[in-house]
Amino acid sequence: MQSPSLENPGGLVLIVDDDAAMRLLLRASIERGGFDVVEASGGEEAVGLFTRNKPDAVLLDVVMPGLDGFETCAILRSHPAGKHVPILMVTGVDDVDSVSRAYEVGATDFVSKPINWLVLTERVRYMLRASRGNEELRQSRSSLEQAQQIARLGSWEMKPTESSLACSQETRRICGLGDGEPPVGLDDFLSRVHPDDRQAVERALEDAVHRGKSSRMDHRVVPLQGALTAVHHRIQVMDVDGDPPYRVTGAIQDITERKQSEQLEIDRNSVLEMVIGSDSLEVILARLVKLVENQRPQASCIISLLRDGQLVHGAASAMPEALLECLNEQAVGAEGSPPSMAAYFGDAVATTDMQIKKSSFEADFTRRALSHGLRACLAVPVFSGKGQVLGTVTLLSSEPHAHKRSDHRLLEMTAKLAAISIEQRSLTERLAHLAHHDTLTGLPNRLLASDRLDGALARCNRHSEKTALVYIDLDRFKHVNDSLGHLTGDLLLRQVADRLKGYTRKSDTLARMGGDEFLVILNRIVDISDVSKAAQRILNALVTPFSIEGRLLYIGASIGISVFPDQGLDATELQRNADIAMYSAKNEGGNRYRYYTEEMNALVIERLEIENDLRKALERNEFELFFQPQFQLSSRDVYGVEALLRWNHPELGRIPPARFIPIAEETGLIIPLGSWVLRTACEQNRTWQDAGYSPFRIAVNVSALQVVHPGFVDEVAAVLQETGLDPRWLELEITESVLMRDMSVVARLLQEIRRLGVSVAIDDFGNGYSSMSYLQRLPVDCLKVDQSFIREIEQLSELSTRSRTLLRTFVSLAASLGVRLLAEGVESDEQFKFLNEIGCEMGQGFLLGVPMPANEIEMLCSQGWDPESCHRSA
Amino acid sequence: MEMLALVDEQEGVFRMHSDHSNGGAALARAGENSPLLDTGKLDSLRSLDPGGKAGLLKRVVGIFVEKTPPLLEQMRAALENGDAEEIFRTAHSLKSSCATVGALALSETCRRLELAGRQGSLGDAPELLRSIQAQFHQVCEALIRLIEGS
Repeated sequence: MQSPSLENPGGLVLIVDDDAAMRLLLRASIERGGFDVVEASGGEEAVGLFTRNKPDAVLLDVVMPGLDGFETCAILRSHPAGKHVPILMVTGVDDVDSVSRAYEVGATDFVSKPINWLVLTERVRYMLRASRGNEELRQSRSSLEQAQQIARLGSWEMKPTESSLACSQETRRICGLGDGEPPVGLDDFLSRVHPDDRQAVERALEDAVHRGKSSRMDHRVVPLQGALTAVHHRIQVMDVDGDPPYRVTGAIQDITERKQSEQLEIDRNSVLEMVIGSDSLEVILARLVKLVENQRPQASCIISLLRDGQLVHGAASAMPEALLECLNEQAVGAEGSPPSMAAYFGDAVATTDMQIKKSSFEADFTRRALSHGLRACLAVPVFSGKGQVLGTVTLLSSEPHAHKRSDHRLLEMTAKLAAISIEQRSLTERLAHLAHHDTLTGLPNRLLASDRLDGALARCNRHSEKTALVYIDLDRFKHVNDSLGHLTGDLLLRQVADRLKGYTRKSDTLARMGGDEFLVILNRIVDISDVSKAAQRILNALVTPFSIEGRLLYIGASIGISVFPDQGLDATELQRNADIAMYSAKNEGGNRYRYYTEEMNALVIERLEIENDLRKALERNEFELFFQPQFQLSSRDVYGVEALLRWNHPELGRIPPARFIPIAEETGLIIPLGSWVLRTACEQNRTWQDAGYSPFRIAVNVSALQVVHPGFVDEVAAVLQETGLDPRWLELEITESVLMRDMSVVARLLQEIRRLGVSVAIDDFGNGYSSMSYLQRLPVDCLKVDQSFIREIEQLSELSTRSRTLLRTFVSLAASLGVRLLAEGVESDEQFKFLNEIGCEMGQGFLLGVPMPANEIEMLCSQGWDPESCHRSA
Repeated sequence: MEMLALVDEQEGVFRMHSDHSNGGAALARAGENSPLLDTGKLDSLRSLDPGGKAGLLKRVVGIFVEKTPPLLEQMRAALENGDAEEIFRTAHSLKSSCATVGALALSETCRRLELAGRQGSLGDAPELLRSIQAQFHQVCEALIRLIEGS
């Protein structure tokens, strides 16, 4: 036996012959070729030996008793190991029938008797080598097919003269050409190429076959079943040296995945660019739907947004309205459609087959989807950066179980992009809204009002129309803000805004210009009287009290109006003039409207001058203190003085406090001015005492702003120390509005002031909004009854009765609290008489003594005024 | 050596085949030493067993000499019974084994009997059987001489 080699492949040969001599010779012949031999004398024995020994080749005699050669051959071929084993049939001479029958039953070859033994050796050797070659070829073809499948690379070959292609399995798979060996017709092949690409592929093939031109190209393939496929196609001419037509082969590679991931990259960048750019959310979401469609051409996509617990339409593939409709304005819930559930649970919801998983809850959605051939549904929530659900992305496919993990990943990526888009857009919108609206009332702000006004004026110029600016400033708002705090003030502003909205037309613009100022732009004025009517309506609306935190607040408004083109030709002029008219209305007492006139302008200019001069007045030493004596009514003895501020303006003369104190408070100048008053008053009192006059108390008015100004108590202490004034000779007068700010803070401040030894008086008592209960909780020494009560003593009977009653009440209240009661503005004998009768302790007024400069107080003292006696009796 | 022998043999095969197709004349030309046995055929057998180490020829002849008489007896019985099918089968079998040992003339006679059996016309069959029996003895003698001579 020889070892196997290319020349002597070796192997085991089964010899089947009923003739012993033949077997002997066959064996000799076969063994001579280097093979091992097993022998069988008949068909049955041969099948048994074949199964046991799995020979590499079989020599089979035709004529045998029992199973003959043909039958044996057929049995061996049906054997699992016998499919490809070479079988050589030994037939009789000239037996043509046997030869053809031998091939029919699967014989590899035949040899006729008489046998040339030496040739037989070579025949068997060759046959075995060919068989091994075939086997290797089979294996290599199979591994080539596997390799092609892995690489998604198919090959084909086209014979020059035939219009058909021999295609590898993978080529068939890529093009959806079906399994099998027969060559594919060129037309069939081309029919699978996308119609738009077909001409190019056809031309490339013609160029190859007839002109020897190889080429490569990307194109699309549309298999009969399955998704659109992108391929890279190489067409290679095999024998260019010859004459056309040439033999051509091709390699066709499925690059769908690569194309898709390239497309995904492009789509994603495009979406992100849109987010950065100025495209609207609708446009961006539509682009996102396109992104999904590019990845899943067979499926449909819906993006829904979550608004107030409902899903609303965002963007979607082309699909029946009815299906989108039932998703629009659908409340999210645990028992809704898949998108609704995804939004509710904040998790992906997959329905693999809606035909099976029909639930009554989602019946509407499911029924509509099924009626449009959609069976699988996958919905994922869109999460904001903070984990809130913003909406859903839904994929619908006609194939049940169509959605895989990759679809889930795709949707999650889409959801992320959607979240970025939604959040970015809402931020932009919020910023734009913030920039153009007042956060407190939600009304357009000054900026937007200005834009609207520009638009209105442009329209007016084109159409010769009129536009009115109605400038509204609330009366007494500052008082509310100061006394009740800015939180209450804010609530009031909101209510005012709401009320104003009810009095403006849609075509008009209502804006908050800042503080307590509102603006209405009235467009397309036909009759100027309409403007007046509108202004009056607004006034009426604001006069009605506002109910805030259980309190009724009475405010009003001062309205200034300017009309284009009569009272201004551009926005700036109109706004300035409306503002001036508003100030004019306010100066006249408020709660009225005024059209701008030229005269108003002068007044406003004066006010501006006052504000300007006020800043310099302290430096220029233009302020002066006057002192008004306070009397004990029963004895008409002087008890103390109230320090009153006077401004001696170099050009305008003496300006009353009512005209500049509000301006000082508005501008914050009240703080240094108040300090000056306090110090000067203390110095003056100390001066009088040093001059030897009997000491008396000096009352100093303190603004609300001053009291709550940080360090006020320390300042009072410092002034007392520096001036050397005994604290018992200082009284601070504060208005009721100060008390209303923050009761606990104010109570603490007053406590500290009194601890210094300084007494506290409530100014304008009875005029405020508050109840009297606070008096029990607040440490005060004196109540100064507002002069309106005193004035009313002599008024019409009803008012008189009321004020007299109240004054009596005040007297007993003061007595029960153990505080002094002082009547302001005592100007007549009748008033004096009444107050004295009811037991009001003290009084102040022109009847008793006008405000006077310091030297006149000294004269009064020199005339025998003895405040000491008052204090002793008090 | 083998390759050369193979080339010779192929020529021999060619010659033999072409002779064969020209009818029985082949015997006269091919069997110069003995008209009973084909020299080329026997050489072919010998080439399977160079130097006769395995005694292949002796064993093949032994089988032939041993197995043929029972076959001839089956033929005779079949002829007696007029069993054409059996005559065809046995004649075919003997035809093959005769050809194997190079007894081509005898093989030819067997072929004629086989044909008669297949056609079911047994008129010439007794004469052919007698001829076969006579030739078999001659072939046997020739074969034994050949073996003993070698």
